[in-house]
Amino acid sequence: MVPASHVEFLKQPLSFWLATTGLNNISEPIKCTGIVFDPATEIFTCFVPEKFMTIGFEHLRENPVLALVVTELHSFESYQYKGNYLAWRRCTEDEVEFQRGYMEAFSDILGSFGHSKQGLYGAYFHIPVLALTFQVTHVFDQSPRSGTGEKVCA
Amino acid sequence: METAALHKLTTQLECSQRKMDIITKVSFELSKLVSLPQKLHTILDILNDQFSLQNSMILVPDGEQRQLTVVASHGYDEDPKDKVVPFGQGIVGLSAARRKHINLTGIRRKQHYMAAVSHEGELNFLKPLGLPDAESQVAIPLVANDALVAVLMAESRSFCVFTRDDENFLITLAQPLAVSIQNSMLYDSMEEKIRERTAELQRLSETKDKFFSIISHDLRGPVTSFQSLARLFSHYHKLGQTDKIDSLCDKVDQSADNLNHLLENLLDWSLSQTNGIQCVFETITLPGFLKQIVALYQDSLLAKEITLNLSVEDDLTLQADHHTLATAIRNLVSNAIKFTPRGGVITMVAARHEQLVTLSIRDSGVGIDKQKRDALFSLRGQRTTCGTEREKGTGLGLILVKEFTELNHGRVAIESEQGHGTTFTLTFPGK
Amino acid sequence: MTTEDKIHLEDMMPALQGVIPTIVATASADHTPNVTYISQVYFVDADHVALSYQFFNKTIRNVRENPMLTAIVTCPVHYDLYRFILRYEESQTDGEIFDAMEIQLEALATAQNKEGIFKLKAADIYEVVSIEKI
Repeated sequence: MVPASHVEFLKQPLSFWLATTGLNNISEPIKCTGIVFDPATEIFTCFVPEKFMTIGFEHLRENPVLALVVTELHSFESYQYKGNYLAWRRCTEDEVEFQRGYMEAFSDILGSFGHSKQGLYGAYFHIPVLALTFQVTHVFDQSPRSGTGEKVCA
Repeated sequence: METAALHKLTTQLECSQRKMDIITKVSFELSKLVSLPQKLHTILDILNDQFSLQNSMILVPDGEQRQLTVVASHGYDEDPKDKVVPFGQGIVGLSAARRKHINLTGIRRKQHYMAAVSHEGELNFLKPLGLPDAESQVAIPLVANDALVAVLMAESRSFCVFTRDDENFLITLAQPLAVSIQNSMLYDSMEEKIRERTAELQRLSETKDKFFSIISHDLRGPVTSFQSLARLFSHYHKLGQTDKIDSLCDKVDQSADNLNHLLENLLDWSLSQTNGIQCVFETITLPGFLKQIVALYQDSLLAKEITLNLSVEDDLTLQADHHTLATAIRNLVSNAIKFTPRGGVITMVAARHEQLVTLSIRDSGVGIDKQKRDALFSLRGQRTTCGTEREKGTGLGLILVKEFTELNHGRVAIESEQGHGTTFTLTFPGK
Repeated sequence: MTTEDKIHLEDMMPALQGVIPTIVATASADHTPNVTYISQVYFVDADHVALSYQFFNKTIRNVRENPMLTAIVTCPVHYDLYRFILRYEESQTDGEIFDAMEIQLEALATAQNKEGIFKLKAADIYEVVSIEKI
């Protein structure tokens, strides 16, 4: 379902945001500090600072559907993956280190646009960090252009 | 809670006080009637002092409202003065075209986004007026009496430099700034008009001085001469010496000719000074025209035993005004006779050269040195030079030659070498 | 939350200049979330903001079905994150707000010879239901 070309694309220091929705139909954007995609199972593991998950967990108890948007910050190539929440756990030490590496690279990119690298790093990365998994059900092209939003595959 | 409210109120009060101070200072500076560049620099200095607008510029529109030119700037390493931006282009051009203020920040990222989304590999920024890496820009149109007077643009390399308060305050100041700039423009234009008028008055004053000088000096000579001749007539009449009276008649005739020539020149010159000459262009057949002029000077040529050789193509014609062309040529002939020594030669040649008709008059006189040549056609510093036999003139002759040749769309050239004579050449369009 | 603690829209103008893109999440009528970036949240008045609408996309479709939108706005000065809960009210294609948003877009576009490429389709007006610092 997820195109093969996405596997390498997803290994870059992209911008990752999750979203959940409660039954009140209010959604919650949640900043991810890294992801791991398993092409064999088509399961995403998303790393999220616990402090950003309060509302998200409330939503997931009511509605397991998740959305993840990934954006390459130079070309703005974007995809949206939708799927069903599977589980959460605390991140391992290795996963925290992996996220530190990701945040360094991600903050470097934002720093090149004139922002404070430390400022953004501090705003987005907070320990403890959780690992959420979800199973992909739909993929959409979301690059900014006319006619965006086409379903890549379902 | 009360402390917080009090703090907020104090801050607001301080802010209002600061604004009042700025308005007082700006009003004082704006009320001064000074030249435009001085006014613009004062405005940019105040904006730097009060708003920390370190990089700013003022641009004014052209008459057709097609482009704006930087007329003053503050804080740039490379002065952007005289740079232009078309109406409608970028923050400044668009602010001018729409007459709306624009406040942008995060410029580089937004432009990067546009470039990426428009699927162009490379960014295609137009050369910026000021900072190449500006992150914040604000442009405010300065409008007075429903006319766009200028655009104020300020920029910074930092984000979010221009707060909404600052922006609103600048918009409040825009009206008095515009009026003040308009006043300075008016002031400069008045100054320019005064300069032009002063120059014109100076020229008229010189003309008047010359006029009185001619009347008081040059006309007095012939009149005194007539007075002396009248006394001599009376004297010889009483003595019954009629032969002497006969010889005086030639002198009377010559003096009358001179006086007539002088008065004609004076009249023509005064008409030319008041733009009173009305040219009527007609086809002039040059051989007959030039022969008639030369005939007028037969007596003078004989008196000085000068030979005048006239060479003109048979059917040569010229579109010109008869009166002014004749006056110009008469003055050249008269001038040549005056400076050619007794027994000398004058050569007059009229010919066609492709699209041009030239008329040259060459004398075998003493020539004119370069210094005198430069002042020959100008009233300023003009001095009458006596002829080879002390003939007098007014100094108006050559001025008339130049002015009347130009009225006939021609030009005058002079070639001369001391001791080898002088050639005046008039060149006219052939058709 | 006390009155003093309430975050006023006027106090967070730097965050509403589009220096850092805003992330917005919406939901369709069947509760499926959608998340995307938008360039800027524009200040309208103390109780309203506007979002630019250049491409017809899932976010626009969702708010027509379900007016609630959540935006994460980042302050470029202190790098604080704010959660805005917004309710879609109307879409404007002219007027003061539309003009102000459109002129900003055009100023950026004409500065790089891209006029005409970036046309603002509408200014979507949202009521600010709540603002919370994360």
